[in-house]
Amino acid sequence: MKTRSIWDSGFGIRGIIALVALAVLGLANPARAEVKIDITRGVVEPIPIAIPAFYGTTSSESNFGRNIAEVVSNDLVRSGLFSSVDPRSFVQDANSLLVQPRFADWRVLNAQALVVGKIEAQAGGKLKVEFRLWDTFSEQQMTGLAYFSIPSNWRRVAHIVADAIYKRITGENGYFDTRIVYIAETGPQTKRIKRLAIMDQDGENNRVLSDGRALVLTPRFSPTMQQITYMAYYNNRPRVYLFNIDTGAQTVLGDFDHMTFAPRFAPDGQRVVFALSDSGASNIYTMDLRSHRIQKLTSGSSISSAPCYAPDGKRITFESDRGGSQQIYVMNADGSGAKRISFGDGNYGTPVWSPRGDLIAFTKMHGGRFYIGVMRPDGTGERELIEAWHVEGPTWAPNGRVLMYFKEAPSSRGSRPKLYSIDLTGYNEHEVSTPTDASDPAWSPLLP
Amino acid sequence: MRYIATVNDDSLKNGLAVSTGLHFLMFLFLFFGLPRLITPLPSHHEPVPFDIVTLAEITNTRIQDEVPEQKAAPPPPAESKPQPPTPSPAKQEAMPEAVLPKPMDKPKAPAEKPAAQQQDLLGSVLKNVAKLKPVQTANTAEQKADTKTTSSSSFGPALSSRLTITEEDALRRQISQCWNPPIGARDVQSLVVEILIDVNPDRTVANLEVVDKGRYASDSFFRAAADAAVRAVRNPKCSPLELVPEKYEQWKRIDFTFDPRDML
Repeated sequence: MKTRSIWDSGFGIRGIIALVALAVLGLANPARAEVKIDITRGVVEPIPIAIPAFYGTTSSESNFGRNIAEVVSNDLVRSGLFSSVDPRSFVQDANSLLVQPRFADWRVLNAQALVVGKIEAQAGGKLKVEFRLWDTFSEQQMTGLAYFSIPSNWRRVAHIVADAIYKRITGENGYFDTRIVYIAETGPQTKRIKRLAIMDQDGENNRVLSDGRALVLTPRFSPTMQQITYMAYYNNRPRVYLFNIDTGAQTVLGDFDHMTFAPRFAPDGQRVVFALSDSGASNIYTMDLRSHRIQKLTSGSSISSAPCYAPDGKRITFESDRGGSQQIYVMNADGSGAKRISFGDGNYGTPVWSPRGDLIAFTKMHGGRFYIGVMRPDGTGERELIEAWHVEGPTWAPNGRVLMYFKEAPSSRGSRPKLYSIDLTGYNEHEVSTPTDASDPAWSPLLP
Repeated sequence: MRYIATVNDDSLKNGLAVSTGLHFLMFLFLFFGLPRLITPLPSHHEPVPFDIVTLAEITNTRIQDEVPEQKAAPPPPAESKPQPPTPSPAKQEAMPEAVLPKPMDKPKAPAEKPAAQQQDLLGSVLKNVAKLKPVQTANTAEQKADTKTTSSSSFGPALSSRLTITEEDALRRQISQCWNPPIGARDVQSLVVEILIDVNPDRTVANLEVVDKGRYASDSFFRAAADAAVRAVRNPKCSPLELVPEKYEQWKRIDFTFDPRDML
């Protein structure tokens, strides 16, 4: 019985052969790693990066080199993913860096990455800006690029350099070469002046676009960059407008008898989705900018508003009180298949689809407090990033990694909103400095 | 029956043949078993999984002074602690391409349209102000490390010379403190990086290779994750590696897998 049961089990000779083979294989492969280690937890901290002034031979070149290095450093540090190694501790000058970085020196300063750059004035008045990004541990060049530009454009070049470094180290597209439109607020509470303004994402090059005679709200960038859409009260008529940044021309979107508001471009830039208010109800419409054809997407007597396309243009998220309280819904781009996705406590509004497609940012009101949070398009994974007395109007950086919004604290002097940005992880909140009070920010795509 | 008849007929004449035949029959029964008259119970051969873990406190108790000082090891051929500023010519020769790629007027990658994905970005290291539970930030490596990893295979070296789980945990904890993965990246849970390292006898890293070279070359997110893993094992803060010098044969080649799953 014993023999047969072994035979029946299929062990027998085959088993012995397998055992021998395994033993032989095990012995015959001495180069195989004997130790396997799984690392499943790490730390979350900024990567220390050293950015010495870019080298220039003339004093003008050196000036540009210093300024560009500073802007690059500020961009990266503001992202929260990098920390700047103090320039006062640098032990190698810019000139010798170009020959060969002394990596051991930079490692002593705990610099994990090193940026070495050079400025050269070209014939014809252009500047050549080149840089190399070094990994100081492996002593390898991670990337190296050169740009040509007119000198007055040095800030943009610095942002583009910062984007290249950010992309190489994080794997994600950068967002530094972008702009923000927002509402610049001035004047007393009773007679508030709200004007359209635009600035670089770091707060520089601030420019006011409208004269302040009309109240302007909810500006949004077109993905094609030439246009902004917003709602404005001209002659006390609240309507949606289009504004060409290059020409300054302003046109009204369609000629409706009713109030139109909460506009936003479709991802292809060819359509605008907006809300239209009619006898107490509010519904969502789209308008094709070429044919001016209008399509009504929602119907009924409830208030549906704040529509926003998914980055693939196939779905739209919006807020609606059709279920009794204000909640977030997702529907197909033709208006079919609307489904509620927010189910937490409180009211939800201003949904904004991430350019990455993976999340929807929103404003939530609960228990007398405001929150800004994110959830997946199916409503799962809700997470609140910010809580405040009043915080509202999230907008995504084009890489879907950073959110900007406006926030205000209770004040005896009335409403004093300011712009802030925060990383998707919920850390690294920064105030974005503006010359005046500011609200309703909208992030541009990367500049063309 | 034929054999019995033969015995009856030919008396003891064929005794030898009968004996041989019966022995042969018995041998056959022994080898193949008796005819299957009763269905045997099904034999259960369910595998019983077990893991040999080497516990230092129990199995490897030894007197401390037996441990040879690691000074006996050959001089470090590669970097160790941060050095004073003296550039080593050998390192400079080893420098790979120091050449700028061709200058570009506008190296603008068109903003990729990320496919609509519903990936998980939410987790323990990510902040949620609505939850009252204490927020985990950096230093999460201090948390209890995953001890599921086992040391090599069951055909490995003798238990006493293998790394104990305590020793593996020490190494894991050390490298965790130097690993800063791109946790906010899209699809971060898929960014699992395997790195093989050769270790010098002085416990510094000699060579390393990222196993998935194809993905490293084609996927910028994976490349960033792999670079972060490489920085972890190259970080001077984590050098030399926390290993027992006497077990050099066991740890001269280490297979690291960096998987941020516990941070999500």
